[in-house]
Amino acid sequence: MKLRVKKLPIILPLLILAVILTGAAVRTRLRQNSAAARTNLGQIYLNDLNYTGAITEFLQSLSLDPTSQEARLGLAEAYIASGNSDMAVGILEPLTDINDPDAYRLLVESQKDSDLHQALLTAQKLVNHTDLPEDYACRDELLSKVLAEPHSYASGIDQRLLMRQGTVYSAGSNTLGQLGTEQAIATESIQDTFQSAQFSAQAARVYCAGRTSYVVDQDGNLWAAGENRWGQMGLNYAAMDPQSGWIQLTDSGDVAAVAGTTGTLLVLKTDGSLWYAGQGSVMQLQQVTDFGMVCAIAANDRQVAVLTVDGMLYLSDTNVPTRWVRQAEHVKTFCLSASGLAWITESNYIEFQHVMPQMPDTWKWSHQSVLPDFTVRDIAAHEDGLLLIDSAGRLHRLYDGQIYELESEPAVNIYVNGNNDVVVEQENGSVMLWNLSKSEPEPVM
Amino acid sequence: MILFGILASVGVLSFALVILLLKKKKLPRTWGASLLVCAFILSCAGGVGAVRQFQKRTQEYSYIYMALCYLEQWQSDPAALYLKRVTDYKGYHLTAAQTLLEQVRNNDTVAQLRLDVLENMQDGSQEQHRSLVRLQTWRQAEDGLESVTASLRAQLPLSEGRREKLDHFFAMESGNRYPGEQEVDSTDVEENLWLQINKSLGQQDWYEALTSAILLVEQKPSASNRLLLAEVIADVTYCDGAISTYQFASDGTPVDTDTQAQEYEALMVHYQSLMDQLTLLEQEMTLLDEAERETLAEQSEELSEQAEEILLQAENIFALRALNSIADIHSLEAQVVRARLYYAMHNYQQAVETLTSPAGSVQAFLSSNQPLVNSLQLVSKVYESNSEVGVDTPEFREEIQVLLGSVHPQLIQLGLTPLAMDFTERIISDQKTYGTGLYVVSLDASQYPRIRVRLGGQSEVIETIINKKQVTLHDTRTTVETYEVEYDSQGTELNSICFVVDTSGSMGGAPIRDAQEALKLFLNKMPKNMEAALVRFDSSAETLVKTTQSVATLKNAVSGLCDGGGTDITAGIAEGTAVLSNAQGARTMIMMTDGQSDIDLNVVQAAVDQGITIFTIGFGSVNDDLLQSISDMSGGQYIRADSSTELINVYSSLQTIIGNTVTVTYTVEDAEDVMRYFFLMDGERNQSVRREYYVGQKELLQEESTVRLDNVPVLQTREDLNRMLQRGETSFGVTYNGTGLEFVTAAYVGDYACQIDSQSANYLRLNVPTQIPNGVFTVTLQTQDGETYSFPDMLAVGFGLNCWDYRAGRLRLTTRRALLLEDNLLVLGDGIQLSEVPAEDGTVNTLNLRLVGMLMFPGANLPTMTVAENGTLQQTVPDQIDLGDTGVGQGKGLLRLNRDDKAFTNYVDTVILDGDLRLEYNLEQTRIIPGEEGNP
Repeated sequence: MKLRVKKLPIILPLLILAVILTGAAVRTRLRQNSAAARTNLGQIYLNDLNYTGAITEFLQSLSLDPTSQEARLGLAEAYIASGNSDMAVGILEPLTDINDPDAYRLLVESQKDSDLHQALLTAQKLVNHTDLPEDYACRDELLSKVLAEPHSYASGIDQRLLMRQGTVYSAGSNTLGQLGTEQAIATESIQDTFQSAQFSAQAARVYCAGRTSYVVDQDGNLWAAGENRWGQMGLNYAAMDPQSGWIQLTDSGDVAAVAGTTGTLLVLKTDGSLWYAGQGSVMQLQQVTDFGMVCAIAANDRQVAVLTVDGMLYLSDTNVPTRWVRQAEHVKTFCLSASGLAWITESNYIEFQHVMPQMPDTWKWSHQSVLPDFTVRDIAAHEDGLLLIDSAGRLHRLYDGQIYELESEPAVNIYVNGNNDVVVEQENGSVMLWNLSKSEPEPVM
Repeated sequence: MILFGILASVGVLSFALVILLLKKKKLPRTWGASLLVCAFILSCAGGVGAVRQFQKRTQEYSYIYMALCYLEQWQSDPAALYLKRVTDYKGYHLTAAQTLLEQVRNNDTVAQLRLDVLENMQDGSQEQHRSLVRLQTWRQAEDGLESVTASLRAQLPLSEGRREKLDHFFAMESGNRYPGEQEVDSTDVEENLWLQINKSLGQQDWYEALTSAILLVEQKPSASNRLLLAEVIADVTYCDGAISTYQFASDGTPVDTDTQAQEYEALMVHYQSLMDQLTLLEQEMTLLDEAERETLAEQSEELSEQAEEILLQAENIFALRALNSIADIHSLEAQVVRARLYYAMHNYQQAVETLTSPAGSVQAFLSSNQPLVNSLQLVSKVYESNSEVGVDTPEFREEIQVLLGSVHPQLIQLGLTPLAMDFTERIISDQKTYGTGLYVVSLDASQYPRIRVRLGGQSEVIETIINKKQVTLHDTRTTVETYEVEYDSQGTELNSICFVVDTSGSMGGAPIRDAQEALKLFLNKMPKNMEAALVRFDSSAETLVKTTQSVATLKNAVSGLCDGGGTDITAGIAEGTAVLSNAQGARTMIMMTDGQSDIDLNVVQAAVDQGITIFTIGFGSVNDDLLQSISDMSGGQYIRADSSTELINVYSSLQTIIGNTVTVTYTVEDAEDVMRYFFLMDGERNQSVRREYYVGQKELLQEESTVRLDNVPVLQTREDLNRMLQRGETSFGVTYNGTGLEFVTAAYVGDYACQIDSQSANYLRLNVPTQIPNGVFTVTLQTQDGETYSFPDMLAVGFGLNCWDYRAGRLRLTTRRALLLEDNLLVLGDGIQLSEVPAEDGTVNTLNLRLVGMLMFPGANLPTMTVAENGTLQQTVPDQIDLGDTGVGQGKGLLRLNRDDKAFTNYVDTVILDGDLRLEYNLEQTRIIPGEEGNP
């Protein structure tokens, strides 16, 4: 005991020195691991719903170690949770470049509420890499939502269709029975106003192709009225004389959308398969095997376009859609008008098949593509200008190099009506028709 | 800082207390001394810590200040590097500067997020609030950037003296002096020289930088200054800047002997003598046979390597000396300088090893330069992990630039020199994966449901598939449990590779050098079971080396590649195909280009037909779609490089893929879907591959017949035949159009053999016997290879009917030719017009079609007609013959829409049907139903 007491005055300073040195060393070591520590801290903040704190920590972690996957995923999650989903794409890019499934799943979650088409593209990349049932379920759910987008108005060469609360109305010429009614069939008279098309089932979506009218009913079956010279209705015959009334073309309950030109019919089914009948002596619907799964189709009077779920956009310039030419890849949505194709890429670029209209000076643009300063969810292009929907459903009209944000009911989707006006389907169920050279749309009926 | 302050205060107070207690003799001396030492240690530790913290914080504020100065000049790269150097302080000032940096770089979303963070960080003072507003709005004002940077700089807690010094420092470093500002002339000579070096490096004034660095070492030959001189030499060497011994002379006094020049001269003389020997050897080789040439080629290769080595020594003489001069310095910083020197000498492998080796060393563990240690560990980690996540990002780039400039952090330009930038890109390129480690070469569904898939990829992945370890195989969402794997390359099989290299004008300079280096490295690792050939192309193509296993011969040819001319990819592929046509092994072509040209895809198909797999490599302004389709057609891969500097890694990646193929065979059990896909995943490496395929029509469709006749039958009247018989003509001519008709060697109409009068690919004229009876006949054609093709209903012979107008239900048919056969078979032919009988008043005729072909109505309700003795039909026919309200007609031909049809639309193909058809009619409607076409 005495011995210890005597030595204590010597040991004490040494002890303090040792503690200080150890402290310094520990501090140095701790700082070495600061990237991992900051990732952990960011994760804790994230769990506590402190997104700003989490973002700060994850950013710091990535600044110290840009290769940290955990920090990258955490940062993306924090951005998404804080309502900055746009940021997540860039942050996750190094992970999606190596097809990391978790990164894709996170992206799908962030995109599915604001941009269905983008989410579908991402989900397809996910299933391409994992081939897992749960990922397919997610992809298929997104596809069904995309295919369920409304299509309440259509116009053909000389007829118009409108769908309101399940009832179909038609107007125009009924020379070949395209109005679906018996009135004035095989005559030159024109029915100016919308009247009931005498469609007996509950309609879900309406389409026109040439002088043929199509209705997809709420059970997913396809009906048609009007011209069937080329056998495009798929009934295994070409009709030589005008017939009134609606003919049921399918009873499998799986039709999602229709597009076509005079004498051709493309049918997109809910499983993403594409079917064709019409020109080329094809008088029964045949599956088009040129693509994988399709998520959108459109036509003008000379061309038909197809978008696959993996973002490939094809165009057939002929009346017989067998010679498909790939126009673009990484496409999330598109529109086809008389002035050609316009599409939005997954990087939010708007690109044009032909001439690009005049763009605002504030947008970055090159010869045939432009990057808007907001995220574009849907597009309808016309020679007079552009109509865009942003991620919040707001409409933006581009005309004569100027962009106008419009105060209106949020839009669900927009599409070019034949070769002419743009149709705006609003969240409240109303349908507006827009000649883009005018500043305001007009109600259809 | 507070902790250190408390520590120091506790120490000082304890010191005073112990002195007081000792004075009052209330503490034993031993304890007093002990406690005094303790207090001294505490106060020293606290004091030193606090001072260092203060200095560090001031230093970091200074970095932020400098970053703001650069941002004011719109120079974001040096600003980013300065901000990266701020490692401890994470407060308001740093976040504000980072926000401005992102704004200047137009990363608006990140900037906005940082602004949000900044709002939470501000202390509520008016100054900070104003700065925040300025950060949000500075773009709207002309001098907005100047104003916001001035505001942010003003808020930094730095003394006026420090600010002035930093302003001067910035002026010197960047060469951007403020108006009216005088040249800085610091009293500190060393500091002046540092500033001068930094400025010269920024302006790439290599002579001035080197002169200043030499002067600096002469003034003060410290380890740090020597390292700086070595760094400057590395940069000057890398950029081919001139260095002479005279620059190293003290006080600018000329030296008597330029030793380096002498050494350089000696090396160059040696180099020249080796090159002379090489030239002689090559001349000799042209006179020898192939076997002897092979032997001499190896000698030539050795000489060439020696010459290159000597040339390298001569060109890097100063860099080598610089390496020697810092051999006695063993710090981490010295390792970074060595890495720079190795990189300057193009010894890239050594450079990377030098950079990665110290990461786990004791030196790193004990080093106080934590940012440097972290960066070294980061580089080491990315090389070890083989993961490319996050390396191709601005953050990683900045990290490497900081690392390369970390020896002298105050000289910001050291991280931004061409050497530092290229070294950074090289490190990033090393981590990237070029091409996919697993891909589908081909998928064969012709034996469906048996599927054969040929896969290519890295040897490890292929091995995993062979061993079926952690491999998942799906076919259209169904797991395939049983499958066979067959390894295509057994290691002994020969691989024949043809390198097709673009040597067009655009490849001049660095691209061709990089390509040469990449090819040589590829050849250095060429396995024994591989032979290779070399083809170059510009506006035309030329075989430089036919397939050989002599690496020396190939490397010699690679060294001789030179640029010039346009780009003709077709010529390159055609030449490569020709070279590989006689190759014994598995054939692969690696085609590299940096330009655009049209391509004749038939040439690619010819290569595919010869079993050649084409890998395409593109960089610069290439047509990605085109190169992708070339590789897709042949089962190869297209690899896109950002620049020629990546070619080494691209070729290196290909080397791990080529020759590794495996065939997976399985049977599909669930055979419902028409559109199917194959999916395979290597779970160990997270590599997957997917290929869609189609079953049904596409796979099961028989090959289209090579001989076809257009669906246009011929109608011949009995009356005409009788007249011919009377004239003694034994046959009459019938002409058909179609395809593949040049192969026809024999023809029959019904059972009657016909003489072929004339024929071509699309035309066949037959002489049909005139005594042929009435009827509708099948035409049968035989080809030289024994195939027989039958075309029913292609000739009708009967009595001519003088009626051109018919009614069938609501349909009106008009024609210029009608025949009547036995059993009242009515045959309408040639051009038949179809129109509609309007149903009631007020309605219009909507139908207007034309059938170029034939329609037959059996048992038609016709007026009674008899055949006279002279063989003609005795007939009295009405203007219109009624075929009844309901009925069916059969026929074939080309049915078209006329312009007057109500369904006619411009731009629409008017053909409704081409082939067999059935016409069904009644008073309600008329339908055309397609029939089966005449198949062989």
